[in-house]
Amino acid sequence: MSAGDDPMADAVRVAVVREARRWLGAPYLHQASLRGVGCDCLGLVRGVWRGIYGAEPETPPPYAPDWAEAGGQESFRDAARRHLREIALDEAAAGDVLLFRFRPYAPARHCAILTGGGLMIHAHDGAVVTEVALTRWWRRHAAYAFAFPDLPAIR
Amino acid sequence: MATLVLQVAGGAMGAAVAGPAGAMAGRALGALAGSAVDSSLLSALDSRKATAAPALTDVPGLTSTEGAPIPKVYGRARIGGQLIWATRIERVASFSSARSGAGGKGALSDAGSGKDRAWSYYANLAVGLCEGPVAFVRRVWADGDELDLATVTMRVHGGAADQQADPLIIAKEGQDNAPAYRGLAYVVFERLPLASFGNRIPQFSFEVVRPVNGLCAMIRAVDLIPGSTEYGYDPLWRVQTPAEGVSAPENRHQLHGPTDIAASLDALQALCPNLQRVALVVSWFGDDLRAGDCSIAPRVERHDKPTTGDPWMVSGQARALTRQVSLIDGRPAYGGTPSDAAVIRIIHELVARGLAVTLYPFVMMDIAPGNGRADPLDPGSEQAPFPWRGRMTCHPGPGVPGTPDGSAEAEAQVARFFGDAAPGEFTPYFATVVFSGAPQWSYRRFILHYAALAALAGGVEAFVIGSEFVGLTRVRGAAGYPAADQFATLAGDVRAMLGAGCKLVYAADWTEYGAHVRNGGADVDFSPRCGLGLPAHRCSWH
Repeated sequence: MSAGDDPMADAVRVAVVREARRWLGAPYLHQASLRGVGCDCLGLVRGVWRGIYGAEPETPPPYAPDWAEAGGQESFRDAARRHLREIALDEAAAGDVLLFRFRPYAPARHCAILTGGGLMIHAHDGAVVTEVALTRWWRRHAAYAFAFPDLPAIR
Repeated sequence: MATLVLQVAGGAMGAAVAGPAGAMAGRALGALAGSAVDSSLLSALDSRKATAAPALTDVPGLTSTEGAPIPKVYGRARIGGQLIWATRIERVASFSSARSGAGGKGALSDAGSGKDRAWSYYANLAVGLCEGPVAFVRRVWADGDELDLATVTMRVHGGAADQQADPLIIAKEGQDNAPAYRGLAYVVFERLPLASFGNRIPQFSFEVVRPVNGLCAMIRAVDLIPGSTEYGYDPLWRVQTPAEGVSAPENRHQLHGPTDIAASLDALQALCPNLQRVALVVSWFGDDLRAGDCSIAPRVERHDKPTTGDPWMVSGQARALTRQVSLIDGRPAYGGTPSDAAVIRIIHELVARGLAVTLYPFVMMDIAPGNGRADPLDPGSEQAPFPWRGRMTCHPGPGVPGTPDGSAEAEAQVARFFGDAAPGEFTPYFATVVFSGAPQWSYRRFILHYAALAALAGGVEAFVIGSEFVGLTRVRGAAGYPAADQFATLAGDVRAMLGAGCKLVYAADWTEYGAHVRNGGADVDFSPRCGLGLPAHRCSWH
C-alpha cells in the first residue's frame, strides 16, 4: 500500500484520506452529499472532491437505489473516468477510489475510498459512513480503481 | 435400532460427566459403540452383515443459547447456527395505486382510485457456525428450502485467526464495538428480505466444508474439463429460452454460485489454496480414424438452442451452420464446442482469480455406432464407437496388408489431416476469430484458431499442441515421420502468433514418450520424438 514516489500525488492522497475521515458517522441518505446530514456512497466521494478541489465538475443525474440491477449501463464507471484517473486494481493505494459490482457483469454500483493498511471508508447502505477492512469479499467484488487528479494549485 | 438407543444413552452419559462439550463427544462415541453392537447383532442374525456409517443424529436449526458449545467440523457437514448478532427488523413501506371496480379499465376519471400501503421487512443478522478456519460454506437452507444465494447478500467469514470485523456490524455498532469473532466461522446476512419466510427470520442450516489438512494444499495445477460444453465455462449467466415465456437452466444448476463455473472455481480455490495453474480444455471433434479422411471441426449440441446472452459462435461460424454432435437415444453424445466468447470470458475470469491459464485445444472423436467407416487397423470391420484419438493412423494402418506406411502416400494422408491453414489467415472479429483461408476443417485450422483466440484474450501462459496422437506420430513417410514434422512446423507458427513468452507443449501419451519400436524390437527409432523437436528428457518446446 505504498503511494508511490510522487510527492504531489502523495499530498493528494493524504488530503483525500483526511477529508474522507471527516465524513465518518454520516448517515446513509440516498442521493445526498452533505456532511453532518448524510450521503450515499457517491455522495461521499463528491463531498471529498469538494473538500479538496472546491466545486464539483458535474451534477449527477437523478438515480434510483436499484438502477444498476434494473438494466443500467456502466454510467457510474463512465462518470468516474471523466474526472478521475483509472488505474489497475492491484495498484490501488490509500487515497484511491474503488468501484464495486455486486453481480457478475452487472454495472459497478458502489464505491469506497481506500485509507491504507487494508482499510477503506464507504457509506454503508442503510447505516452510516464507516472505515472498515477491505476484506476478501470486497476485493472479489472490486471492479475498477481510480486515482484523484493532482491538485490544480500544485500541478 | 440399537444405534439409536445407544446414541441417546451416550449423549446422556456425556452430559452427566462433562457438560455440553462432553455431550457431543459422548454422542459420537455412543454412535460408534452402537454401530459396533449393531454390526455384531446383525452378523449373528444375518450373514449379509449390513452396516451403516455413523450419521449425524440431528440437524439443529438456528438457536441463540448462552454458553452453547462451538461445534468443530471435519470434512463436510450440514449444521445449524447460533444467532450472534442482529439489528431490529427493518420495515419498508411501499405504496401502490389501486383502482376500484367503479372506474373500470380505461376510465378517464380518477374516481375510485386510492393508494394501498404495504410493508416489507428486512433482517440483518450474523450466524455463528463452527470453529474456523473453514474452506467455504456451500449450500444454505432457510426453512428447509435451499436459499438462492444470488438473491441475498451473505458474507462468509471463514474463521481465520486474523479475520476482520464485518463492515455491516461496524456500520451499525461503531468501530470500537464491533468484534471480529476471530477463530469463529460465521455468516452475515445483510437486508435479508423476509417476505418469503412469513415475515420472520427463517430456520437456517448451512453446509460447511472444512478440509482435513493433506492433499488439498499440495495441488498446484488442474485440468478444467469437459472441453465439450457450449456454455459450461461461461461466467456469464445464461438461460435457455426454448419458447416465448419459457426458460430452462443452461449454465447454472445450483443455487450457491452465480454460474456453475464460478461456483466450481470458488470451491476449487477454497479447497486448494496453493492452486496456481489451470489447463483449460476446449474441444473440436474428429470424425474418422483414417487420418486422410478425418475432419476436425467444432460442433453444437443442437441447431435450435436459443439462449440469453451473445449467440454461439466458433471460428466465425454460427450455430445453425455448424454440424451437430451425434445422438445416443435422441440425446447429444457430447456437449458442443465452447463458444469463443465464453472461452475468452473464462480466460479473463481465471486470470482475474490469480490463476495462470494453459489453453488446451483437444480433439474428441465423435464417431457413432453404425458409422460404416472402415477401421484402418481392423480390416473388414467398422470403426469402434467414440474411439481414442491415439488410434488415428494412415489407411490401411501400419502392419495391415496394403498399408501406405513408409511411403509418400502416407505423407499425403497426414498432410490432408493437417491442412494448409496459415497464421495470416486468422483475424480477430469481436469475440471470435474469422478464418479467411481455403475452406477446410483441418487440424491446423483448429490449433491456429485457438492460438489466435488466445492472443485475442491475452494472458495465456501456456498452449498445448496435439495430445496423444500416438498412432499418427508413428506413421512413417517415404523418409522420416511426417506427423512429427507437421507438429513441429505448427509449433513454430503458434510461437510466431503467441510470442516467446508463451510456453508451448506437446502432450504425449506415455506409450508415445519413448522410441518407435517395431518388429519385436528389431527396429528402434527415436525420430518421432526428435521430429517433434523435443529433447530426450523434456516434453515441451522451450
